[in-house]
Amino acid sequence: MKVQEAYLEVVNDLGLHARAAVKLVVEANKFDSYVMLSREGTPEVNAKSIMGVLTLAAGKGSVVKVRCEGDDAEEALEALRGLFRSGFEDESQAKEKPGTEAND
Amino acid sequence: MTDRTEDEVKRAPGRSAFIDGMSASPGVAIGRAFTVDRRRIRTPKYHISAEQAEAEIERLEAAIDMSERQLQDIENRLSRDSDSQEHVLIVRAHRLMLRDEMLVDKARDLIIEEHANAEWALRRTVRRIKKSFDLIRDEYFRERRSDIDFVSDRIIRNLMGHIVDLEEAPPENSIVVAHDLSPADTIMLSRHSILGIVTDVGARTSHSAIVARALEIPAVVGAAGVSEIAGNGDRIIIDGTRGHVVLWPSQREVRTYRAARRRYLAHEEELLAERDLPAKTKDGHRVQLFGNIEFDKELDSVITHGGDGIGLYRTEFLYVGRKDLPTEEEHYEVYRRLLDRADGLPVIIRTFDLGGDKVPIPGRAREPNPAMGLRAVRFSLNRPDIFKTQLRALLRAGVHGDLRIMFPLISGPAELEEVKACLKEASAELAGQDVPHREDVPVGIMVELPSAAVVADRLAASCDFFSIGTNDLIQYALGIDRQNRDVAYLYKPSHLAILRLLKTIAEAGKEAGIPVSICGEMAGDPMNVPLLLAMGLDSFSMNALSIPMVKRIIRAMTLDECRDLLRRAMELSSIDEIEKLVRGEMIARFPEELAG
Repeated sequence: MKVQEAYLEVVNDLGLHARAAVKLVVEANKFDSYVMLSREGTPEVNAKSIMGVLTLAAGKGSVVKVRCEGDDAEEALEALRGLFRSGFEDESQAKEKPGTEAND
Repeated sequence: MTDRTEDEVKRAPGRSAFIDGMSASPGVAIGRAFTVDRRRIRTPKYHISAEQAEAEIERLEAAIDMSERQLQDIENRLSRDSDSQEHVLIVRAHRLMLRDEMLVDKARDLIIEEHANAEWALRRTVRRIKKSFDLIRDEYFRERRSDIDFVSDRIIRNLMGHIVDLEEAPPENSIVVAHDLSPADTIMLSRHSILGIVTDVGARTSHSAIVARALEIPAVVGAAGVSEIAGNGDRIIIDGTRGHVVLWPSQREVRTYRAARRRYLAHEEELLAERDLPAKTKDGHRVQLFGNIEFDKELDSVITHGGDGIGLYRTEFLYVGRKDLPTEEEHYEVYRRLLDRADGLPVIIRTFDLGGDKVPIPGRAREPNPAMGLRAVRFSLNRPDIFKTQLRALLRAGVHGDLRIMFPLISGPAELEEVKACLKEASAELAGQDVPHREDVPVGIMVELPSAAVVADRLAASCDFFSIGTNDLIQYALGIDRQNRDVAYLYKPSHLAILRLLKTIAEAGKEAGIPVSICGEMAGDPMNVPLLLAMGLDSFSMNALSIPMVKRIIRAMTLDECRDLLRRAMELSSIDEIEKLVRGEMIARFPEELAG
């Protein structure tokens, strides 16, 4: 059993709000591994549960610890990393707004 | 009978109930109540035997499956409409919640271990989940509790065999009666033919009101209690023009409202026949008639009523009723969609006219006198970060149509310069980031403070247009709070001071060669048309529904007779004399349109 961990930052303006949470949950469910999320001082929640993800209440700038456990842990972590980095492909972000990329 | 319930008394034949509400969409409808129940249901609680547990779990799963199908169905219907992307995401989040382990696994445990029935198990689970949300400090995330309620209510309704969505078409002659309608409800309803809508709560800006106006059916909102007392199939009349409801009407009332309905329809038809004709006086003086709107959907109504564009697009709705600030992209999307819809017609967008108490930012303080407090451009200049988000979006949207930007509550030239500097900064930022935008969007101001009216000549030199906001101008000039019943009677557009102020503003605009428009309620009142025409205003902006009548008056008059009336009115001193003169002349001139 492989275990993969990373700390990922929420970069989109609205944070892990409903729209972003839907994307995260759908993505996590594509993998067999357990995917658990936590923030400093909060209990772990299942990334495959939308209610769990929403209780994280992760606003912009918060850092989320992602822990994947299972045969496809590596792939799962990479997929989530991509989502966090793209700001959950939030239309209210990034697109048509080249100015925001400059900070990277 | 002494033991009659209150309900039976109310429903006694021959006794009608009159319920006051707010006009949300004009017209009169006479039909039968189609009640849509959206209130919480009582959850049955009982113990099952150990042997029944498996069957109970199956029952729960079947209800979840059914809920999933219903939400899928709603999602499919929503997706066709590009305006409903936000709703689609909400429905998607709800679908995920249906299958969420936090909900399903725990409910299953309670059925097996504590022999709770499915409804009870679910309710208890939800209560537990909501507790973990209660601890969240961030308001947005905490409020997701309501989504969990929405989802669990749906499952419970399905478990109990209740009707969950408006799947069956309402019968003919239905008037929808509800406590409130969800976005999904209203969208479903708009696919059937219904005569009207009435709700217990809501405002002119609620979803049901907007849909009713788009469908051109009458609607009354804020008719408190109507859904409690109206039974399915009861006779009901709604008067969307005056904003009230008559439940269980008498024969006589039905006749009265039938006549009112006929009059309303005949009048509408007659006026609409003239909608494509220009707003031009008999001697060839052409003005523009614009609509005041708040939602892009209302633009269609402005066009069908013969409007030449949008004279006032309010942007406050972007800020209110939410927990966070709108992003630049949200602003931009809204403006771009509006300009696309306007298809080349001029659109004046006003930057937000809000006080700090309405904007979703922390630490907002209550002000003792908000009308004279930190609001409109004062608030914008106080929070340039919030302001610039809107300005950037406006400049970007400018490439998509004939956009003009208007600033509210400008008090004098220095303030105008400050606001323009902000706009320039926003433009420079966009240029630096290579973001497409229009640099030279015309910039105008609302002239609504007496100070601005008095120095209108100076202001005219540094902006591209004026729009007179008479609602505020009258309040501030006469020192009257319209909301205060004791003094509201003094709120009179015919005060000589107001006429003089309007004239000053119009002349200053003309002198500088910039167009002057008027966008208060005064513009939509046919009685004022000749005075405003005589002052030389270039455009009148009003509620879409007022456009046809104003156009008719304009087309029947000559500029000379208007000037003569204005001159005579301004020779008088008292409000009463002026009103009497103008009303008398206008009613004599237009007995059919204006008498009564």
